[in-house]
Amino acid sequence: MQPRRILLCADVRMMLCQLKQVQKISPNYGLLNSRNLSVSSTFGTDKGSSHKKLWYVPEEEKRESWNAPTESFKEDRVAVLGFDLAAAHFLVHRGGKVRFKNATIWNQKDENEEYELSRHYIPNIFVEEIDASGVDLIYEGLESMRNLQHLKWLSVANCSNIDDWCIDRICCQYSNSLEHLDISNCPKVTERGITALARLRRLQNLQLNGLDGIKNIKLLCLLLEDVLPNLQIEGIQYMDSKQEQQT
Amino acid sequence: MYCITRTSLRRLGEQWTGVSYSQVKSVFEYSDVSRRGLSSSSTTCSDRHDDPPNSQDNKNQNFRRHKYANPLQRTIGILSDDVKGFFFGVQSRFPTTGKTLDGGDPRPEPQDRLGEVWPSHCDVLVVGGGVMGSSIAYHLKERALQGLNVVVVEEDPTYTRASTVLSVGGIRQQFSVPENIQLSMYGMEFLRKAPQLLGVEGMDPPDMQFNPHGYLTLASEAGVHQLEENYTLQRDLGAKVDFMSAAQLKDKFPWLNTDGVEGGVLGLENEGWFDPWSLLFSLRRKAVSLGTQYVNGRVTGLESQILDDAILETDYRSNVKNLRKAEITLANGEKRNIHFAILVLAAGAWSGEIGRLVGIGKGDGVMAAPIPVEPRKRYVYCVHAPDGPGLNSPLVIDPNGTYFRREGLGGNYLCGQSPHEDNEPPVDDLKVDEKFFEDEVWPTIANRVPSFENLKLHTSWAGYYDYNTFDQNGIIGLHPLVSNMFIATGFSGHGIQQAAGVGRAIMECILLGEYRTINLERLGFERILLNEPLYEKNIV
Repeated sequence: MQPRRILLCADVRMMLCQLKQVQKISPNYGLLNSRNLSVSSTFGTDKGSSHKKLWYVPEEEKRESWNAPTESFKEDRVAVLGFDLAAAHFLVHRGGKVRFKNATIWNQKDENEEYELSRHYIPNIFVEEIDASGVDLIYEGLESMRNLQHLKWLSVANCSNIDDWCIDRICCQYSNSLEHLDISNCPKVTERGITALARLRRLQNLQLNGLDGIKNIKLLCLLLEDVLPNLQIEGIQYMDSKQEQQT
Repeated sequence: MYCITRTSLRRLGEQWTGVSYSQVKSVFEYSDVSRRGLSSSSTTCSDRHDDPPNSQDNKNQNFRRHKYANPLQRTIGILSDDVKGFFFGVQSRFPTTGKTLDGGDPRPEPQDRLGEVWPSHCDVLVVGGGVMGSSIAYHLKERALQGLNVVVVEEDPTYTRASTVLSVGGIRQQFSVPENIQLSMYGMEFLRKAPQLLGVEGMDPPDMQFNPHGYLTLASEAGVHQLEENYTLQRDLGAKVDFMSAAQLKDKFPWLNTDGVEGGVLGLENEGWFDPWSLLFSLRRKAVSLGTQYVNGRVTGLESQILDDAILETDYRSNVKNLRKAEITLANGEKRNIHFAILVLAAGAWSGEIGRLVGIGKGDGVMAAPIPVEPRKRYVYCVHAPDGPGLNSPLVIDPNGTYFRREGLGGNYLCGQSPHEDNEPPVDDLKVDEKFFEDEVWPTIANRVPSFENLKLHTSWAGYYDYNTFDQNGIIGLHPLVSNMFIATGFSGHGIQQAAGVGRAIMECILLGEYRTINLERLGFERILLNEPLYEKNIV
């Protein structure tokens, strides 16, 4: 009786998540729990000229605050599935790809929006690689991917909401295991986020395509190479200046 | 229609107050009506300067009269405009203080195009326009919009002596008082959401320039037990910190000399440093865009009235005071008055002085206890060390209190130390003492990081802490005897990270009457009267 009940709960929860995504009805409340302090946009928020718009039409900018509650860390999901499977479900459901340790295939959604992932906890199954480039992750979403002790490969390329705070979170959560990071085309990352990447001790490969606009990026690449001995950076043409220095 | 409203209101007024119209000079003379039945005390500013007649206005460069400054006039103006609008479709000719949401004046009156409106009446007067005052003004206006008139009095719009802009800008959750931890966690969330919350249409979104590198608090053998207790508390409240032994520290930070260090706590997330000037500027800009008025002047007098029927009885019997009017001295020496309903004291290092204007500190019983905040000078030195720790360095706090952090990418580091109680530097000016660097700061950081042996002092500056001589933590909340004065000061060096949280707390106190997000009752003024200090348990 017990396992079936758990299965049912997980199913229902998954369905509710999908429903919420479709309807977009969850406003952002300010939470009073000391663990979950969040800033609430109070009623009288200044909307400027947009106050002419009708209040119930969700605007593009509101997407982040709409989805923050659905993407935040769900304790019951982890209680049922364990950290690794919970993160896998979270990502694959939203269009990401996950590869487990010792597996050769990537778990992802197919054309019918279905995917094969275990619905209950399996011990000794660890997520090793995550490709979140289609997911458009936000800061709260990264928390749903925490406690992944064996994550080696992470790509958040083309996620426009990745900023310095998300880099901070990535550095905190995967500092001991991450070997490959891809933050290409994330326009909100600044030079301060790149300096923070020095905290990822095992980093071997860093993809920075499309981030040429960051201030002092070439100097930053050189400094990062000094700090992290095995690091290789791709996507920025800084080798020219290095060769110039040598000659 | 207008005459009917006016007459009926006059009749109603007579019925309620028992004062007939003929007895009062003019029903719009608010000050006369209110003074009946209330005894006024210590008048520190005279009424001569109250609303000078128009002829004097033209002499000094200044403010036009606001037609509806007086609250009673405002109410009647609103009502009559509503009635007229309903019947005749007339647009409201009610000028607002400050700009509209679109960014322009609604109906600029041609004869008053020069100068701005002098806010002779307002709802909330915030003394001090630094990051605390601006945060309080922003939170109040964001919640109440046009329902509340907020005026901020700031003596120096260039902020040359303000603690905010001279601060090093660190933010950490490594405290031992739970309220401090919660306040700075809220501050972190606020910084992260600043581009949305503080964005003004038509201008660039604010960039807080947050460097997510964390804090490293080191402890010697004597202090490691306290460090572990603090670490447990921080983890319980949700801060992401890690306790490391000396060996682990040496492994993670090879440039660190771990002699004498038993352990350390490293902040993994939501800790680092940011640009305090951006925070101040964007808070102020957003507050102004929401309708706050910043007045460039200094508060030199505060008039209060004693409420005969409200008594606070402890060992003494004291009457409750109610502040009514502030005398502001403008930059050109002119003195003007502002009537207010609520005063918020966020004057930083000079809050003790403002308290004395009200009488807090001079008097008997409860009024004998002053606001224990005074300016204390602290130095920040910028040094250049080409072989220094490099990119992977958090803000390190040595067991004896010295700190240093990386600044930029050119091998520059900021460092400083809080001097011992006995050799506090004088606070008359902001001159820097380089001898202090050579005697106290340099030996400590050179001991902690051997590559700091050959560094060069690049530049330095000094700033004031709003130092709380009682227990070095903020004082937040109402004063027990002055019924409408909120205090938000005394943060002794960690104000910039708590500004957002304190702004929200004061807003909740004023508008909702209680703390909703974080409970800051333990940080109230009462602890000074009860002599129960709330110390931060420092690590040695």
